[in-house]
Amino acid sequence: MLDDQEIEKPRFYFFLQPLTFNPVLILLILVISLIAQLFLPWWIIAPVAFGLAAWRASSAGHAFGAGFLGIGLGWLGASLLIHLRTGGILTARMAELLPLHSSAGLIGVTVLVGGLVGGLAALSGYLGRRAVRAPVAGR
Amino acid sequence: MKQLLAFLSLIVTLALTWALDTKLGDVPPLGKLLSPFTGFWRNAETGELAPVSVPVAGLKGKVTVHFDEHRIPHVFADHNADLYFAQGYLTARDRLWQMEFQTHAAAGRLCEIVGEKALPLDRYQRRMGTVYGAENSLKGIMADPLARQVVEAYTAGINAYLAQLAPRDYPLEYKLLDYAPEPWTPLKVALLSKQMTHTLAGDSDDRFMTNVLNQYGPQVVKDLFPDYPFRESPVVPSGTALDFTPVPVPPPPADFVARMSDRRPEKEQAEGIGSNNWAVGAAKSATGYPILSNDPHLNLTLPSIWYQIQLVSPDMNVYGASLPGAPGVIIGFNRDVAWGVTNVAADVMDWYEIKFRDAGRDEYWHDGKWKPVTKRIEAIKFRGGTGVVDTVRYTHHGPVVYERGEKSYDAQVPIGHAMRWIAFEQSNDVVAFYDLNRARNYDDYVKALSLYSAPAQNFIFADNKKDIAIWPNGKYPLKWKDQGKFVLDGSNPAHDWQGWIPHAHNPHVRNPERGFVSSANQSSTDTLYPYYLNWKFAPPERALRINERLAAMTRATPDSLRALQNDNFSLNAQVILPALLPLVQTNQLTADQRAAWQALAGWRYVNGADQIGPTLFELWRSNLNQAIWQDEFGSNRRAPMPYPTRDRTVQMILHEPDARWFDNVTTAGQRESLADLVNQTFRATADTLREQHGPLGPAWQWGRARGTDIMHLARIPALSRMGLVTGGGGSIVNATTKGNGPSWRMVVALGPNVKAFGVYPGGQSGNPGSPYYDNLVETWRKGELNELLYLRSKEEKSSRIVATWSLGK
Repeated sequence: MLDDQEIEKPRFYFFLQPLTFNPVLILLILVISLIAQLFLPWWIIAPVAFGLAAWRASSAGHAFGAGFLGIGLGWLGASLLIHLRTGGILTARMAELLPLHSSAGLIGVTVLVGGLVGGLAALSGYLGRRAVRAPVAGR
Repeated sequence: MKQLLAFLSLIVTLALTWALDTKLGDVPPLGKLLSPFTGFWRNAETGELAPVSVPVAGLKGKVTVHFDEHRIPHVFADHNADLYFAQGYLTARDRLWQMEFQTHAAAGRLCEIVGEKALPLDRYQRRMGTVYGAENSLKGIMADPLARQVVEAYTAGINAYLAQLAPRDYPLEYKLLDYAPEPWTPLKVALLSKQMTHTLAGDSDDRFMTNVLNQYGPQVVKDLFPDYPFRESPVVPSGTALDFTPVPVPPPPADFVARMSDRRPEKEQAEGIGSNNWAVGAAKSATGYPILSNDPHLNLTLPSIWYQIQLVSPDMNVYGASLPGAPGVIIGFNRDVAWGVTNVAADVMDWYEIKFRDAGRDEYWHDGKWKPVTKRIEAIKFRGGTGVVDTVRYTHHGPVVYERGEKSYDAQVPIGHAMRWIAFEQSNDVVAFYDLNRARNYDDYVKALSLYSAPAQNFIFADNKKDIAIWPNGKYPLKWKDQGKFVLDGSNPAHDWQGWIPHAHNPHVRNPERGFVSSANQSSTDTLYPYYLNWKFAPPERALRINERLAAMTRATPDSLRALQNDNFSLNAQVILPALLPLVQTNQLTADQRAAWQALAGWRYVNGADQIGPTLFELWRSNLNQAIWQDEFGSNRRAPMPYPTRDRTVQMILHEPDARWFDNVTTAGQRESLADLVNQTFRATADTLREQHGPLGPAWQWGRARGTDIMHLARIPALSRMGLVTGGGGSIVNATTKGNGPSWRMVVALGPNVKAFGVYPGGQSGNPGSPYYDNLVETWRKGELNELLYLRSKEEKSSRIVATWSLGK
């Protein structure tokens, strides 16, 4: 009963609490998702963030933040690199097509989409782990 | 609670991921598309080419490919099969989506990509027998060992590229529309040729002309829709002696007028699908050898319609424009000869009224007997798996395209009629181009042309033996005069196509007295030619202007021919404006209208991009044309009719000012004169332009008010080039319009060392993420040409070679 009460709190306000970062988890999601995305479909980011957060995340906020940043930073880096290396020809065309009207906006939306999937998957991973077994003390 | 929360979070995550992986309506799968690892970002490229050895399975030996600075491939192979394999491979590498999309459209398979909304178009393609025609062509290809080898090698090359392609490397359009390429087949080569035939020889006025005949009778048809224009300069010059004895033409049967049909044309026949070509002989040229020019006009699209390539094997070294999806070069040159094409517009599509026995429509009346129809089942699949099955009835003429009670997708199709069309014939066009690519002289060229069937083209020719020639060439049905000007009787065998004009009797001229040959889609011959090809060809202005300038030309250089390609002079305005402007009563004009009148009066008939005159003239001409003909020819919704030709209208304005047609029949009790219409329409024109562009000023300039759009094939504006500032016009030698124009401009100076120039409005790459997608547009817009790199051997060094590939095991 005590356990339940302790973790009832974040259930209601985890999304309000200030984001605290877990650099190890961010780095793990970033690196492993990068490698996986080279060979596997784009949605592999979801299982990667889910699994790593289930393994390493210590709070809902940590999980979402690490998922969002781990995937989002990967997508930011990759899209920015491509944008700069190719003179932004396709970025400009796709921004007009979608329509977002600016290359920066398109990169922003790219990061947002990747980050959101990564964040939600990581959050689900953490919540899932918590649902099947009690949190380890100290985590 | 913990479980519920975890479950909810998981559901949201899965739902979001699924939604981002799925095409929802017209919205592409955004996650898949935006991922920098699998999505559109992967299609962004710098265009850099590293020198590499590309492992490709299926080649007999090694193939060397030099790429020049425009990324045009120059391909060297030891075997012809390897050469066409490499052409397939390289074309697919640059143009895979385009070549597949075009053949899907031709085959009536767009519903598989975009869903049910494309059904009317898909059904139309099926009903028109495009696939049936392609299957017939394929039989011809497969029955000929050479054609078969070429097409199969080309197909294998495309598929070798496809085999190396991971989904993340699919061209951008596959990602936007969320589908995958399928293996190429020889049928697709045939489909592409049918699509070209549909574009260039898929027009027929039969239905509309029948309505005119019913409404006004044969006298008016003869007067307003004559079989030969009042001004003309035919492709084969008047007075050219026949070098054959004509075969007898079938006699015209007792007159027949078909039942009136019941739909209205949705659009005026667009001018602009036309082309120019010419060759000046050695005597007129500064080089002492012939110089040849060609610019085929088509709906301008991106990726570029054409794909430049040089193909070299032990028996050939050809350079030119190829069509993505067809092996070989369509317009180009080799060491010895150069050739080009413009459309002939022979009447090779006819409509037959069909009398069915009963409501089952299984038998039709022909030659005094009930004959069975053949049913062809067309299965149209939709994206996602469902679909519809369509049954098309075929008579011996061809398919009954739309049956009574159905709605036609295309106004020219008369309901309940069967169509006879050249596209249904077996053909050997693949071998025709195979031979043409290897031609060394005039005889080779004529032999190659004898294998060509459709769409009929004015094949222009020049060689370094100083021959020049032109053949309006194709497979022509042997017809009685005006057979197919109107809808025909499908029960009377005298109305059937009865044999073919022998190839040697096709119109042609070699080394004419005047020292040049040319064509601009005008009448192939004068009225003395013994066979009937069509009653109407493109208006004569471009031809008249070209022939006038070529006749005056001496010591021609490639640059003088380039300048003629860009000639913006409006012969039409020169002929008609001096007759129209004085009729305008200037004292009744407002200040704005008067300013417009003065601008037009000061215009020197040049459709330059910076001119205001053409903006005024083109709209005025169109408004005046409407005012003259709309009341008599545009108001019968039940029986739509074509307007008389521009040529006939000009003749009437100049020489028959009292013609009854100037009267507006909808105004009872008053009779309008030409002057009345001229004044009304001039004021309306000036007012419209004032409304659109403000007071007379730079916004009225032709290049801004009209301009040119080069649309992406899937009509996506962001992947198009919109609002290019261009001159030219529909009846101008530089036939650039809003959406039409020269799709390839080429000039070839023959001689011991052939020198050639060319450009198209686009680039080699079909990838909107490549700098080579549209890098040639500006050169094209300015009317300039690039010198084409013609390598004599694999070993030849050139500073223009930026990378060399070796294809093979």
